Amino acid sequence: MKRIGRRAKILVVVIVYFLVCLCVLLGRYAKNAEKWVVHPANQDVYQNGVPTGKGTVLSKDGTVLLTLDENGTSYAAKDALLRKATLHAVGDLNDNISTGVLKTKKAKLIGYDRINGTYSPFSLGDSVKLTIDAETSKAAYQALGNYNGAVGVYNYLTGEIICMVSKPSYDPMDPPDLDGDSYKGVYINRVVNGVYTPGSVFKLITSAAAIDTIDDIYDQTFTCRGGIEINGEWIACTGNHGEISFEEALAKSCNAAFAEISNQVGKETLLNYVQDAGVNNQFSISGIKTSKGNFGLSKADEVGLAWAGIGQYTDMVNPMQFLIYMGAIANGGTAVTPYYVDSTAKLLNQVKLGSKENRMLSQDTADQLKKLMRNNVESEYGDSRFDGLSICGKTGTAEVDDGRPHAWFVGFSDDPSVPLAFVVVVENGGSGTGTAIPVAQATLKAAAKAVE
Amino acid sequence: MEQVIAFLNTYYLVIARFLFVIYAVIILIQLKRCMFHRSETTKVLAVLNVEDGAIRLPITHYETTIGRSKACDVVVPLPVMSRQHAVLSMEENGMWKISDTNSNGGISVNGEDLEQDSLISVGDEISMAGVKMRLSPPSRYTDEDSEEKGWLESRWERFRRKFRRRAQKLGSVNVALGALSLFQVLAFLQLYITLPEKYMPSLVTCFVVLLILPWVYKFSAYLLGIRNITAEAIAFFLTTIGFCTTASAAPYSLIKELLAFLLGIVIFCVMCGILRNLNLVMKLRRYAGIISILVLAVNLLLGVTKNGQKNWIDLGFVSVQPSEFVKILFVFAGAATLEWLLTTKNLTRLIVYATGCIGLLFLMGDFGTALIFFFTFLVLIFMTSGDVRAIILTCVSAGMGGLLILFFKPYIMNRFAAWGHVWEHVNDSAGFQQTRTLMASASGGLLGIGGGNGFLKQVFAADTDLVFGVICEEWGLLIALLVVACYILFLLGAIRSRKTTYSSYHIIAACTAASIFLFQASLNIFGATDVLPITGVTLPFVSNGGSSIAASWGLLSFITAALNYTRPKMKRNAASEWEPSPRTARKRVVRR
Repeated sequence: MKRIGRRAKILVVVIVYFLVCLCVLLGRYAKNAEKWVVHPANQDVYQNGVPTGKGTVLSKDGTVLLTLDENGTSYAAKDALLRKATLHAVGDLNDNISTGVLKTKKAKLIGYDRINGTYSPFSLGDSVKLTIDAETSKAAYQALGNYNGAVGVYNYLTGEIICMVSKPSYDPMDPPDLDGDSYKGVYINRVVNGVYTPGSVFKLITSAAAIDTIDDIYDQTFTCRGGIEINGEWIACTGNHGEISFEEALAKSCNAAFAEISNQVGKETLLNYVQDAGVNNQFSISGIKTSKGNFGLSKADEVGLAWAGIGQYTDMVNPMQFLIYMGAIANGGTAVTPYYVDSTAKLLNQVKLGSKENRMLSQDTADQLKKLMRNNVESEYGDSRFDGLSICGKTGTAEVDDGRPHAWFVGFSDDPSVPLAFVVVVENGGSGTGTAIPVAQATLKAAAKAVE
Repeated sequence: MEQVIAFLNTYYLVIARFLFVIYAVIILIQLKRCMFHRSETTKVLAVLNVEDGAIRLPITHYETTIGRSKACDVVVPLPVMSRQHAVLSMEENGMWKISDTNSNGGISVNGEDLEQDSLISVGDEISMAGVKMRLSPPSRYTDEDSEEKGWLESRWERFRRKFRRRAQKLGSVNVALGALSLFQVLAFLQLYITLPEKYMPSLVTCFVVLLILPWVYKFSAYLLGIRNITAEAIAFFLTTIGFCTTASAAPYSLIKELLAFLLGIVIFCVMCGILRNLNLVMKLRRYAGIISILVLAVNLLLGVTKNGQKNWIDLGFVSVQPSEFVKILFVFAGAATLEWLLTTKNLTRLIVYATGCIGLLFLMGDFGTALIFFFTFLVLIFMTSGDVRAIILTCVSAGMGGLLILFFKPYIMNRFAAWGHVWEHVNDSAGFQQTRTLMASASGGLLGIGGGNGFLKQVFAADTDLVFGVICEEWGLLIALLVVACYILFLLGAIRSRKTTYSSYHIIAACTAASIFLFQASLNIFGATDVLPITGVTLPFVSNGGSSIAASWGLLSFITAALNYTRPKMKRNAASEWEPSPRTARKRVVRR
């Protein structure tokens, strides 16, 4: 009997095997339950292919953008313009737009929680509050006119994204045929996941490197003869600037001067500054990963380096990353990570997403860049266009292989009561000054109202 | 009336979903206590006097091994003895029987050499390899002897007793059954609200029977010599959950399931009656083996193919799955008493028999059941021989055989094609069921969305293969985990029965049966949730399916027997000279 009893005890291994399997299952359950529950094949949630639930999506100003009830999901915004302007923040019914809260916060919107599952007879439903402002979004969308592009505005002190407009967009209540060429990449949120050639806005990063590493940068003069010859190759400039200082070179966006500055800074230093600016990094914006830019000089000679410092060569940047960089300059060198889902909408969830700061520049460099950018606006772009917001900015006209150049305008307001940073990219829009500044103008006018 | 139902529809579940969990927890806690916390007595049944009382060894089991090895129950540390010399067991007529287990020195009783075994009376002189012994009644074995030599209590146990004074509460089967009844009433109301009108008669019938039967059983179990009904109470709970899921997923088959359940109870009672009489069992074993092979062979010849498996027999009025019942016969034929094991010492027959069964199942295409039989076979080999090498050898050869089959029939691999990445097969048959199960389980949360409210019930095989998903979705993860705990409890109880039951047959059979439950549950639960490849076996007691339910109750009888049959069934007034006298029986309480 002793022997048999001993063998019986060893059968505990069967229980151990069972428990191991159970732990695997429960582990997966704990990790993925939210993903499983929002799957479109889950008929506890989806009826006729549309998610049901009890949630609402609100904009910063309290406008209801989306409602879910037991019959399905409906876009509550009354005018089509608002629906189009907020589409990439709100999301579409088929989860094609990865940045939409309808996808990222679906578990919450359908009224799911771990304890009750999808059963919620009495709860009033959860609301997801966006930091996106309805009027600013509309203004930005309208200002883009017939162009495609991206407009992002955020509060560099708190991290709230006030405007995140991506075009092309469409009215989700009345979806057109999206296969056409004009809707190419319509599901991509260009602010977060677009990647563009930066053009002259990139000179801000080159300038930051120059301020820190070239001691007499303010005393040097550069010679522009409508361009400059480097290693036997001509680097063309937009104009013939003649003898020009560093400050003027940035304001007039002189390629000849920056070709020389890039080479003075050198490959490695420039690479470091680009790295600090986060061009090659991914950022997490309310749980969404931004797309990485691209900056590499491994094969670049002096000409390549010159073009790279001007923002051409193989340079690619992500608008959100540039927006964060603007926030860092405005904020004395450290950037507040932006977010567009207001996590404080629910009292229980007090953890603020936007509090994580990262230093991109030294305080001193940031202040000097700020001065230079302020000078850009005052001397070149026209301060009066911005209604006393004391804007610091930089335009860009990025040459691309197909069609007209992309027009850029990036910057921020130095007015502490309107702590806004912005990025505007107009695809094939032509010159930054001509096309991008008016978009920024209209957007900032609305945004300033929203912040007040 | 409609208003009442509408009102209930909204508000009933709000409270009831908490009560379901509370009652289920009460049931499980009480039954766990019953299973683990019994007062046990270790009795001195006889005393073995070696060399005229130079050494006095107490016999405390009805089946006892004697030998030089420390693994023996009674150790006679003399070099002339074989390591495993003899088995002493009590016969049905109350007489002790000594059997030679192929010892070197042999055994003689009163000077006559023993061929195989012999009955012993008081005063008979037994000689093992020349060592003289006498078996005497326990009345002459005093407490001082035991205190002095510490036979009955090891140092460790004494130590533990010292520090665990705090008596744990004793579980009450009555409380558990009471909670079960309340659970059933609440579950019935929930299903009453959600089920279509036309199924009401069958729903009411099922739940009335479910409500009454445990109590009827409780008060009549003693007729079978059963006092500890913990295992049955667990099975009643599982069956209740089974009826809840069937009512939701396949309400048209409720009555069929009820009949199968009743049939299962009948099989259970008959089996308990047979298991009470081990002599009969040992005689019937071989027939059980032959019958099971025949049944499977007939099944293979006359079987009906359903879902690619030829494991059904159509009897005209009803179709059954004979392989489910063969499980009972397999355990019945595979387990053995200590005496048989040590005198026969032959695994060949078991191996041939098991290979036959598994081979036939393979030919039927019932890989799930074949796997269960293979596992059962491993447990049986281990329990009967303790030979780990044999098990490794079996596994290796089975693995090679498996590879060979895959080599010749590679399409079998397709069954496992989606394993581990079912989410890439959401809309094809390879991953359809598993992904729906996972979605539904997540939808249920901890407390469930209410019986009859889920969507998984519409998916094919929701009431059988995916039943775990239905439990999670409609009754919540907590109840599902309690269901899982039931199967673990069965095996723990079976392992625990080594301390109560009198014959190794019962321990082996109970452990094997409980292992089958747990293993089958693992294939079902983890197959449906993609932790293991999906094999399409049923969840014992829960899955809808007549044969499965009836057979589960049949297997349960082995566990019940081990928990209850603590001494051989003796004829009245049989050999009272060996009765342990109450004065000297040392009683102690084992806490665990």
